[in-house]
Amino acid sequence: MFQIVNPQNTEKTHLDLLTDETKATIDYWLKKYPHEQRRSAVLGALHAVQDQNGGWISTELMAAVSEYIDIPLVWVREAAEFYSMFHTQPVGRHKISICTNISCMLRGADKVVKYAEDKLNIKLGQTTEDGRITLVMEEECVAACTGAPMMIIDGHYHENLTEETIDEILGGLE
Amino acid sequence: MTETSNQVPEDKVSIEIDGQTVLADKGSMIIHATDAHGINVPRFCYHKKLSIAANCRMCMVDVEKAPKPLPACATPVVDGMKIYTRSKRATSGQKNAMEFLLINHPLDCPICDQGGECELQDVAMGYGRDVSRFVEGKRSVADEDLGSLVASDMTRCIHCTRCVRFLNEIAGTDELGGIGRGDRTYIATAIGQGLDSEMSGNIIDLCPVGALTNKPFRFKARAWELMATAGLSMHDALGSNIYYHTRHGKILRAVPRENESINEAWLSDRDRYGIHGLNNDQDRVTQPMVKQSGQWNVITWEQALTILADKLKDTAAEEVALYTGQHTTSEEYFLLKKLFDQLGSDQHEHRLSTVDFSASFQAPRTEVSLADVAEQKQIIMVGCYARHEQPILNHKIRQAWLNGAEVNAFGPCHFEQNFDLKLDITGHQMDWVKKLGSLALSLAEISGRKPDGALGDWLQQQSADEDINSLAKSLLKNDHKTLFILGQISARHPQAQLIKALVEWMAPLVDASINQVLDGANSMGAALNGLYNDQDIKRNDHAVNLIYQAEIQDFAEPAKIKECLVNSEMTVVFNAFCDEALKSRADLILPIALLPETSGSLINNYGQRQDALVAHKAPGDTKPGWRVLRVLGNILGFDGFEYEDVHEVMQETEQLKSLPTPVPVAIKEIDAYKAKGLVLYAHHGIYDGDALVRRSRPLQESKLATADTVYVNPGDLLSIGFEAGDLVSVEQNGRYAELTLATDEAVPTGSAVINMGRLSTLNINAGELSVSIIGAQS
Repeated sequence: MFQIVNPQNTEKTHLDLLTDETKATIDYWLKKYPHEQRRSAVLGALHAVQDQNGGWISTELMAAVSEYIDIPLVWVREAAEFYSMFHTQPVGRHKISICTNISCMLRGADKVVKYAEDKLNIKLGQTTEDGRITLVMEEECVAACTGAPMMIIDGHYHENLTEETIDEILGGLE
Repeated sequence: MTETSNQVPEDKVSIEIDGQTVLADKGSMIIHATDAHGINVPRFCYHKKLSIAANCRMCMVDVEKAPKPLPACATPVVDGMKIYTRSKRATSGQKNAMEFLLINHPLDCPICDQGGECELQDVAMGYGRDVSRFVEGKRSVADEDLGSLVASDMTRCIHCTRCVRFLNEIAGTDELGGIGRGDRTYIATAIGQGLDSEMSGNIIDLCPVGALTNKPFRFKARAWELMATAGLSMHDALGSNIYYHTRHGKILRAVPRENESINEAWLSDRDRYGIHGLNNDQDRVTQPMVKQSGQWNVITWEQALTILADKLKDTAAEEVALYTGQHTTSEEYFLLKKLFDQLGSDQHEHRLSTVDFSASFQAPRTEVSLADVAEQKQIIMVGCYARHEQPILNHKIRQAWLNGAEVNAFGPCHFEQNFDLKLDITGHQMDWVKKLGSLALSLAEISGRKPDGALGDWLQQQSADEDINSLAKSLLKNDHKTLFILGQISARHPQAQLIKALVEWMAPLVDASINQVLDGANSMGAALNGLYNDQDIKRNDHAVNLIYQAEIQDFAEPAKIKECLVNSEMTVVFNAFCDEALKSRADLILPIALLPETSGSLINNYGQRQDALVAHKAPGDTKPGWRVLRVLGNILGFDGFEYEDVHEVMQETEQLKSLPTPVPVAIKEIDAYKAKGLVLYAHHGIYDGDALVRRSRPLQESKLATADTVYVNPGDLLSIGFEAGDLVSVEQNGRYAELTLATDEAVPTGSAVINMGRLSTLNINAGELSVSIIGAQS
């Protein structure tokens, strides 16, 4: 729908915020798309800056991505705010996403959420005071319905959750 | 069947809409065909000037053989297609979309500013249920401050993305985006810094709901209380078509009146919000006044015109001078010229922003129509910041660029553009002209042709670099549409005639056209009426100076005109406003109406004559200018001032003969300008151009407004000896302006950029290039 039809950032003042490793990752993604569709590299780039920055993306880093890919800043913000995998506020060392989609919901996801919230004494979207765990606001279906209810911790799936397994898993997090 | 399909032209298909057989363009959408045939299909996200998004789902129609209703805006027509816009399946699709859109939309139209002129409200009347079935909580969205022009109420947004697409496609600034997901989506800027576009107000008209509304107009009136009057913009030479919305004789807002040959469906912010200057009564004059022994006394019109007539009778004709602004109606220009002809004086001038009078007056060149600017393949902007000079012209240049045109620029500054420039050649005011000369030199060398005389000799002193040579080669090679646009920076340049001569020599060589960007809304009308002089009349002292619809700030040489007025016996001001700068030098003030308060015609940059009607009631004893001039002519006993009605004068101005075709400027000698210190670039900010915009608070509070600042290149700070942010004096030939020093990489080395048209720079003459920065105040 939206073409890159406008002159892009002339002032590139945020590029220093990107590490060489992040730049290399963005370059890898940029190579996959034609130049006029370079906007598509934004997802790979956002993952890279999020990893670089301890799990979340600041406004300055969004600006750095927009300057590096040479697309409007608002497009980067749109992508970063759209996907639940991107975090635009500081997060804890571990990100826990509890699936609340239909299969998990039928298998008691609400109880899992309630149990985790009570145990950690935070609500969804919040981070524990010690900065250890963030309960991610929402997670859509990640195709692990056979193991419902399930949650993702730092990219790893944990399935068939019970109160005991939740205790065990959460207790094991640094 | 075969017979009918034989009659269908190759680029068309035959379709049937609600039983009516019509032809539609191949590849067009169903909604194009229904719109062309007056069949109403409801829509929110579709707009004929924007790309197709198909995200509101309101325009559902029933297409035979399709398994479900289809969006009319995104379904291409196919030969033999049968479309039903009112069938049960179509209306049920529309009703469901309507109900879905209303889920999160507040149902509080009585407190919404858009109520009464809301597309959502209108369509809901036709397609919505009378009672909402939605009982759950509605979402609410925090509002963002978008600046002084556009108000936001984002809870009302239905995510049609017209505003997002406008800023992406037309304005070219990509400022708004859809943030978040699903029902939590909201429209916002990237960093919350408001809108920068000079066309931002158009998103108000585009918004089909009350999410984006006109901030200064907010909660001032309901649509049904307003009367629309067809008017013309007076802030640039395009004459953008406007509807003024008035209540009880007062203009409350301006909206675009569609004219495909000029402003299309758009309006620049200057044209939309300029009218708010009318309501600024700080230095509005409402009664004739005379200065008697240092005191201002209110007098009657009869007394005022008698004082003036007596003075004119007692003064030798050549001792009477007239300076007229460039946004006055042709009818007033016509009567002024008639008056001066019978008075016997040729000391009249409308080119207040010109400083180079070294060649005789020539008709302005506009060889390509405004709409055709978008068709050009190569555009060279010479001393032109179209975005601020004529925002709609800039829109056409951008359209040309989007269609693949190459745009190059020569000028005194790197201006922020909404398209890419192939080459942006800058230098201080003398340097960039030399660089333009080097393009001519390069063209001369490659083509083996050379201009004669002084111009040819001057060219030999220039030297071309690789960039210039490659531009010259591409210009010579091309066999497509090339256009030189001579902007207002060129027109106001002390070497304006040299710049024009260079372009006039280059254009025929590369088979290019030339368009000049004119200042003011009606300088063409003033020129047609002959209100010019081949010399600079400011160089002569006059006993009587008439200032007609102009302020000191309108002069490119305000310091010079102040001197003229002080040295005269009598200064007569025909104005709607009179600020202290003018009042302190005036002897007689006659309050006359501004354009939206008077009828008349304007001739735009492209020679189109358009009429404007009275939209606003002028305050107090203010009179339309044509009436005042008519009475003055009668008191003086002159012939041909017996008009009863402005239309009689309009009939006369319709007969005006067009100006003779301009001949190229013949340059006799070229001043070797030598500037000491910094070289002045007298910049004209977008909202410093006329009495109304200077007084329009929404515009002055917007992000594009200028400040009392002098800009230099950061590299020059060391030699200047002051820091950015310091209050400094800018000295020009013993006169001073107190300004704040600022730096900008866009300013070339050795240059000082000063904002003209402001009270702070009335001591600066644009024509004198040497300035220095001295003495910071503590």
